[in-house]
Amino acid sequence: MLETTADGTTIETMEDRILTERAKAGDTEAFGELVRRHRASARSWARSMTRDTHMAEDIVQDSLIKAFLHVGQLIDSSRFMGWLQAIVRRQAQMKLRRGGPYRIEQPFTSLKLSQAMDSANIDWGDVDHILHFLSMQLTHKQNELNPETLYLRKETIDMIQSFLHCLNRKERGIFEAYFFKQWSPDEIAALFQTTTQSVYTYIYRAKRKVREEHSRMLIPASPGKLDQEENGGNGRMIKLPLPKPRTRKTASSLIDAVSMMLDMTNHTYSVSELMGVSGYAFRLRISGLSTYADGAFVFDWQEVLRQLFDGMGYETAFVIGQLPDEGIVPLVPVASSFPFAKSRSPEVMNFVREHLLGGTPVMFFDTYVQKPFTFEWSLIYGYDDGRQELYVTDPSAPFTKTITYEELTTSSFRFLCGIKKRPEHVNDTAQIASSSMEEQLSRIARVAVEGDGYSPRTPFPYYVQGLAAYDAWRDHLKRGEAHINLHGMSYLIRVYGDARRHAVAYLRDLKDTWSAQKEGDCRATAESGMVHDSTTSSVYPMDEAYDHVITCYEESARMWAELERLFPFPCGTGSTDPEAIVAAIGLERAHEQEWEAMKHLQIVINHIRRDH
Amino acid sequence: MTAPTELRLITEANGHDLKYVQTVIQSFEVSTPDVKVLLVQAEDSYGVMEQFHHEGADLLHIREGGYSTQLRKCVVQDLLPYLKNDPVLKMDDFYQGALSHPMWEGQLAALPVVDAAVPQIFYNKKWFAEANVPFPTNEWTEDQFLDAAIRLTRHGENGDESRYGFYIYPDVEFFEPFLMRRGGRHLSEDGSVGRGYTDSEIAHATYQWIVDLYLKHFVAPPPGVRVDNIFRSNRFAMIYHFSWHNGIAFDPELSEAYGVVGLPHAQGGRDIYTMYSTGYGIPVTSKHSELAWELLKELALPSSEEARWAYWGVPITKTLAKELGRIDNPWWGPALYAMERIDKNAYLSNKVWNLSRQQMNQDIERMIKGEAGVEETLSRWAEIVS
Repeated sequence: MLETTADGTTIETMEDRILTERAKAGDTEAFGELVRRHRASARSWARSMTRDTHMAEDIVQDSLIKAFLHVGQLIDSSRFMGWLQAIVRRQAQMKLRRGGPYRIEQPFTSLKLSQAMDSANIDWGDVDHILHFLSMQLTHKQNELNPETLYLRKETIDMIQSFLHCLNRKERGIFEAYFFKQWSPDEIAALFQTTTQSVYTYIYRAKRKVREEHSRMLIPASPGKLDQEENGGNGRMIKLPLPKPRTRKTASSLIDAVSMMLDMTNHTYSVSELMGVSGYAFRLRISGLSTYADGAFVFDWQEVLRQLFDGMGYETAFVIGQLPDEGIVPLVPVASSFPFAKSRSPEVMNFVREHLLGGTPVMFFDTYVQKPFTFEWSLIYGYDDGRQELYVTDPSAPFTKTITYEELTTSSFRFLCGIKKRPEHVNDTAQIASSSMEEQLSRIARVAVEGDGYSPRTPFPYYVQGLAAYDAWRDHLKRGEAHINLHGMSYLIRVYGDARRHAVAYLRDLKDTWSAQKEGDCRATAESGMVHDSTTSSVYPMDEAYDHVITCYEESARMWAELERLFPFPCGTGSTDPEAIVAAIGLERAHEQEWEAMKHLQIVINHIRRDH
Repeated sequence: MTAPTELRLITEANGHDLKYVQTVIQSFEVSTPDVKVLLVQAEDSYGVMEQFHHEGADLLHIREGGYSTQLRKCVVQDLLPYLKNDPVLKMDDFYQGALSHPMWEGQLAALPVVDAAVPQIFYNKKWFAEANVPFPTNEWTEDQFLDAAIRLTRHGENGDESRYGFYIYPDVEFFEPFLMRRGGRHLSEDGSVGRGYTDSEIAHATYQWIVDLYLKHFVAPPPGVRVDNIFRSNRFAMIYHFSWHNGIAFDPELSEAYGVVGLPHAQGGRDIYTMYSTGYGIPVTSKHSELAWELLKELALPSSEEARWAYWGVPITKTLAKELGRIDNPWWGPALYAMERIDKNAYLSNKVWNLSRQQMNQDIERMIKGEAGVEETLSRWAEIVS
């Protein structure tokens, strides 16, 4: 940058307004001159508010950094001093409050620096703090006046560089340009022939990777497992074999994960049975706001898993929590009933290691899935302490991936489930403890008609469940495009359509089981010498009614399949009016069929009660 | 011919809100033909930020709990400079709450867009008249409120036959205005302290007064009483709800049945209200901040006829309120009055408190069932933000 303009004006003689214009355009020397001119005033403002010289110096440093980062947004260039004063005042107010708004988190651009700026005062455990220090804008002249600062910067750069192997070439180039050379995002974009937005994304991702790499120093390796050898590894790695083939058996990732967990413990259950016993096959829930996908996720996760695994002779253990400091918590209607948890808690990895060492995978709620998914349940089936990585299933091909320990322990929404076979059930064959036929059918009726009973304890957002969800869904479609989220709708159709197919299979299986039981009862009766007159038995109307239930659900499943064809997942945006009408008709038909099915199911239940 | 400039707007709006945003965008594109707006809908705040991190944005939908966070994290710009330098907008034309709500540390995170709402009481005019109870006015007191609720409650033999004097969803945020109007708060102003606030004498007295509505006076329904379509249920003489429901003014049957009034005054208390709002901010990373501001202005204060017809919420400026015919309007008067007297809820200042809502509501249910005491419960709540 020129220090002298064509008319002989030097940077030292330029008025503030012109310097500000230059600084806005990325001229760091111009900004440096502004700092030189106003630093004393800034110090004076800060001192008058805090009455503390050291605190005032901190405030001035923070303010100058903030000013440097945001000078591009200053609209009126003639107001630099007033704008800087406002920043100083705000920084001082924050610092003066007890704890301050940064008590919980420290955003990158607002970290405070040490008083004396030596290595004893920088928080070397916090990568954001280190990177913030690096991005301080000091003028060339000031650097010369602070050799210890120069040396500290060099040390810091060396240290950070030792982590940069975790970045790919482009990420590293952008990272170094931004943090070490202090180029502006625009300059970097020009250099890398990309967009400024893309540069910001790269910086964000690179920072996250460096933070993860740095945090490896903070997360302890497996305690006392150095002698264990698995898979030819170094004793700190476990990878359970996944069942083959590994394609998903159901669109409901919770049940799919349950199914895989059981397969991996050598107890295979039919997915339809799992879907039926859990109620999943008959469930319908939708947001009252729109056709969002979240309806498929709002229920009592722990209770569903606990009951399901309990029926199979397993104990369940959970590690759950919401971590708002780690970012926006997804699925607030579910998450806000979870306790608050600390990030990087050793409890998480200890839980994972304990279960994997015991030979069972851990189910977790996965927010690291790729589009078109937002989140799903996945399985952790291995870990590697050396690489600080976990082996995890994934809903998208190739259906496995790795995530880091850091990613697991800092996810803003924590849900892990592990299982252990009860000692008395260790040798059980794969049978879900059967409640009576009446209980099973009553449970189906309850879930299908009324829902599972779970409702978040907040007035907003709200959900409609059971058969009434069909009406709510049709209302959304009737109201038009603004009430329809196509992506969410296609997701719900995929999940519920799949559920109804499993409902049919489950109902048929129940009938077979029931018939076998009745046959057994008849044989026992015959052997005892008692005569059983089948023509006057009350079984016939019951059988007919039950067959009708199956037929109705077959029809419903067919309607859902048609909807899946019209709204294949993932659906993007686009006009929906004609399709919405067709969808509404399809839903109405499915609703009618299930309503009819429930009427006949009640007949069956009443018969069973009478017969007993 | 150069390609139009693209503005990317990420929203979690749905239904009428989304329709409104779409209408404004259409008008904006007509008036600025060299601009194209890409509207991306997410399901919630999480979805908005996921989209933003992946693909960036020029306008970002922010829910009230996110105003301070997005400013603190330098995700969005301070809009005050834009506002102060705008040739058309005047800061003193805004209702107090419209600017104070999205403000943090002297910076403005967003402009509320159509979705600003304040608490009100909707009262059944016919029942009041039948029982010879004077219609409530904006000067009414808590004593007058309770008297009306008691006189308008009828208990049938079957719970479903009961008519209650009052309905409020048992929710910590819905109860909060009563506490604040009595001079109390759940948390300190900066949200960092609960001790001394949540467990103060005023808080105890307020929550006891609320619990008494259920357990002593029986004017409010016990938890578990299911109500579909509360305004048409014909079961409540007074309904605490938010100005989102002012749309019943356009329903011939409901507008005839109900009137609307502000909250009752507590003796020696403060005449203040709380508010919900969502708005749009301009990300720091936007390359088209000035254009984004122009679109944001239209979203907050629509100038096109079509967009004004679609503006269903509480207006955020007096000029807009006048243009929409909402000043001196019995349906909107209480809401506009409240908009000038907004104080911030606890959930705006502390996200741990915000995310504890379900658990606190479970506690509230226990209190109004008589299963937990007020003092012990508030003492526990006071520790939430420790």
